[in-house]
Amino acid sequence: MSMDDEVDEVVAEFLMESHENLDQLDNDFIALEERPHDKALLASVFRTIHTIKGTCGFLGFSHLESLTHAGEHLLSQLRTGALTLDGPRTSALLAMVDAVRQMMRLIEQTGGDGDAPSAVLIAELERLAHPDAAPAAAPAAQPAEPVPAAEAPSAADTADAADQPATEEAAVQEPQEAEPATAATPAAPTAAKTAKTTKPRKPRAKKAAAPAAEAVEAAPKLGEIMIDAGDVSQHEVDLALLEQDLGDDRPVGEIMVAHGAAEPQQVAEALDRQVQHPEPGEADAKSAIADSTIRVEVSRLDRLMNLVGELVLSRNNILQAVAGNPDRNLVTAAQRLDLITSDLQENLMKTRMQPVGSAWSKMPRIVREVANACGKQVRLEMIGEETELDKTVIDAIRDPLTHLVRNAIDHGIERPDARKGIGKPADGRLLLKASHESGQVVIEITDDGAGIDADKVKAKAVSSGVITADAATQMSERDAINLIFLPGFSTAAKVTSVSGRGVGMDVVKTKIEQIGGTVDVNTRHGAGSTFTVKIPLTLAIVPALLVRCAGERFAIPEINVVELVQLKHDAEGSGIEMLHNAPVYRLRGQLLPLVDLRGVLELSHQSEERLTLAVLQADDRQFGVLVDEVVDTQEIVVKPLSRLLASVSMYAGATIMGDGRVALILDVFRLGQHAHVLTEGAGGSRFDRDEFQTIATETNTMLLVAAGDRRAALRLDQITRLEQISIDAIEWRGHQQVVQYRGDIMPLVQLGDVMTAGGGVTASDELTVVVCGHGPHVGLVVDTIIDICTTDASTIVDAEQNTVVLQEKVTEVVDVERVLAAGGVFISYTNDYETDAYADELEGSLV
Amino acid sequence: MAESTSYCTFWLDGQRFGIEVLDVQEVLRTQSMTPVPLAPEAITGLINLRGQIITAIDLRQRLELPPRDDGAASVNIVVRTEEGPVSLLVDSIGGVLEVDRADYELPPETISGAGRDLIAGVYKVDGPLLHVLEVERVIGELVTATRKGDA
Repeated sequence: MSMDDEVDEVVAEFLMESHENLDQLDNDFIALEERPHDKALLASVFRTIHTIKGTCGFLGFSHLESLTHAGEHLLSQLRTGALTLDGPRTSALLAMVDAVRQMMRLIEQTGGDGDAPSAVLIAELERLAHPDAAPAAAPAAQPAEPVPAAEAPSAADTADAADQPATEEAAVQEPQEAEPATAATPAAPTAAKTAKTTKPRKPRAKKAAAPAAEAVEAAPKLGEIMIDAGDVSQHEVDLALLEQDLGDDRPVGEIMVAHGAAEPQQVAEALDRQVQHPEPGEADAKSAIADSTIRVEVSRLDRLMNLVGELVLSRNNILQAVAGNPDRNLVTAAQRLDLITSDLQENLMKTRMQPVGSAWSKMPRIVREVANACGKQVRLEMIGEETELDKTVIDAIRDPLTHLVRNAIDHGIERPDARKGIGKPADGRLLLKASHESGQVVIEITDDGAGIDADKVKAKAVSSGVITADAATQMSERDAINLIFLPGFSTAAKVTSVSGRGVGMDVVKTKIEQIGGTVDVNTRHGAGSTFTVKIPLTLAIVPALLVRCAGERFAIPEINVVELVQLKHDAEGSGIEMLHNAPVYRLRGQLLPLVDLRGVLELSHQSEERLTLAVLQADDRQFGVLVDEVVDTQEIVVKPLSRLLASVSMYAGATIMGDGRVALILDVFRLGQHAHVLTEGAGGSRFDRDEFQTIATETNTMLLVAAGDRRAALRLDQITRLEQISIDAIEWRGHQQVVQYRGDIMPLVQLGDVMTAGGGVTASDELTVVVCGHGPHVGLVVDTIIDICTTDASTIVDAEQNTVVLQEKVTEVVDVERVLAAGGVFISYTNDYETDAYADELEGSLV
Repeated sequence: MAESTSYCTFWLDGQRFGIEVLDVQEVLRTQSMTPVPLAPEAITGLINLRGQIITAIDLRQRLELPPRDDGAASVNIVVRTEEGPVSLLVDSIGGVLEVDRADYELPPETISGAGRDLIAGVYKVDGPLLHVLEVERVIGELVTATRKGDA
């Protein structure tokens, strides 16, 4: 009874919905018979049939469409009052409902609605739609018509319809007899139970009567049942089937009895079992699809989620309590509890997941309407609809996504004539793409339209007073394009009904950021734009950094955390400086504005040492938050705060820690805003940052390393990480040493070779690797890390030779850019000549 | 037969108060409390009630009574409100008292301060007077409280 693979999701959804509707219809018709003039009920029935008709027309199920059309026609007559609903009409309509249901089962199993229309039923429905139809003749007329073999499906429908208790008794017998494809001669003594049971007994015959037989194909065959029961051997069954093929028209069971291979009793039992088996055609009234899903209120899932959250806490308590306990049984039980709880949590999370396609389902319609309204031609493509997201996230992104799509059509894609003029196809292309990426969902909305003109954006921003003309000229293209996310901004030359009313991108950005997401735009003038929305998979459980401040723990969503800096506390101070009256920290040559969490939260100012700086990011800006210490990172269950605390906007919620205490979750965006690090509206601080940069260029923080007998310095801002890599992890790509690093292949370069310093042969099992670059990484293998030091104006620098004096020693500065540019393929640092020389040498060694 | 109502009684700064028993969900001993910086002063913090995070309100604060002595124990009375369960911090819990409607009286005009809004009435029972607390008002004003945290 498995669903055909080719029945795609749309059809599956249609089937599920329709099955529910059909169940309702059954009841409605019965109610209608009692109250034939209930207009509301009639209208509802009409609508249901109309919907099914419309959808199956759309999906190309023409037989189903013509059947429902006939039903709809009759219903419309009833609805207008031209006819009244009487017994025969109710019966015919119920028969139609059953026939529809039957066809749906066929669709579910075969992907098609059969080979033939239900001519008999349609004729009957049409006849009854005439006011002068003789009501009395109706029940008899239906089954009395001869049913040709080609009409097997509809014949089966009728038969089935007749089986419904709601239908008149009189109709029950005849259709069964009129069922040509299935009415095999009941031969074995007990085989004559009903005509139905004989159907599957003629497996070879099914090919001739394709649609009807296919519908019941999934039911077990008699031979199989008997083999399973050990009554007969495969050989006996094959023999019997062969005889059938040779013209024996007796059922398989009977043939085997005749052969003496099976007792009549065994055949009878097998037939019983076959009947009991839920045949798709008869036994189960509903469909496999309808049965395999169940609708559950989200609130119920939320409650379960809460309970599981509590279970997780209890689990944590137990794990803590049994740690170090000598009782092995207890420890084992606790470990199992641990596993099961995690599994339960994960699975429950999955129940809340929905494919992102559910947020996209209305897109084709929206695209069509918007495109029409704007006089544009748009072809919509969707990739990755099956990407799953928490329901709450899907609900939250529905509007922003719709807005982005509208915008792409209205502002992005050009009119067909304009497109042709510049050599683009008249149809604009709009691509919606969703995918998973490191615990997040990335949704891209790409159009091949005009792109965003940075100059236009600047001009508009200046004219609307968002920025000054002066600022505009200094502004980078990227910053300029980001102006579209400011409130009250719209580049559309004129206001259309679709967009361009000045509300928009800022709302999109705010909404996406509210759920911890980001939105970014990439555009090429003339070639189109891509809006990239990154959102968390779920809002309910997030990885978070736990920090302590003034004795209290606070959680910071990890998505906002860029890095942590341990501040020194020595005679020179902590490294925190004041820029006028604002605290800043020099982080790898950049000035980072600081927020003191104690100050912002008005916690006690007792002079405890604040040692850790958490570098956070929100709204594309980075700022540092001073906390006492970092406690841990942990997955936390986010719980909303009571409305009593709605006045305090600094928290995104609260969570319960392993020890049962509550911890508040900081809203990083608000935190930055509150401390005026992030400003609402104008992009003021963006320029502040440029200003910071000029100040900062004078100093550089350098990583001091040793390679061979030399000392080298690398600019810290070009370094991603320091790693210890086991020698065993080294693999080869061509003549290049590589390691697998964070899902990538990272080439390794011996710094000693780069500096032609020689040496660098490590005796230990671990290599010290400086990972450079933020995109594709390159690993520089060094002997030891010596220190980190800062160069400033007083540092002696020989720019030509790229050397500096650090810690009173001459140190070569490694040009990381060049190492990266070479993608890790060996380059010599000293000069080009040597690079070539080495390349030659390499070539030579390969020959 | 006289109309009677049951009140859950508790003590605050030597005064006896009561909340209708039906509004009380449960009574808890001192809970570990997480303060909420920037929150209105009357909000003492958050407690974990079997996985549910509940806001606790200090009734002394709310009624403008002198603060409890440092280290003095308090009791949480969890009440059902329109905003979900809320914990009210009181000095100590009394018993359940059945009172006669006939003993009820509105508070006198001379009552001033926060009590004027929050005390619905008083029962002249044996012993100290029973002040009837208007729970929804205790909560309500906090919901609409002005933002304190924003500069």
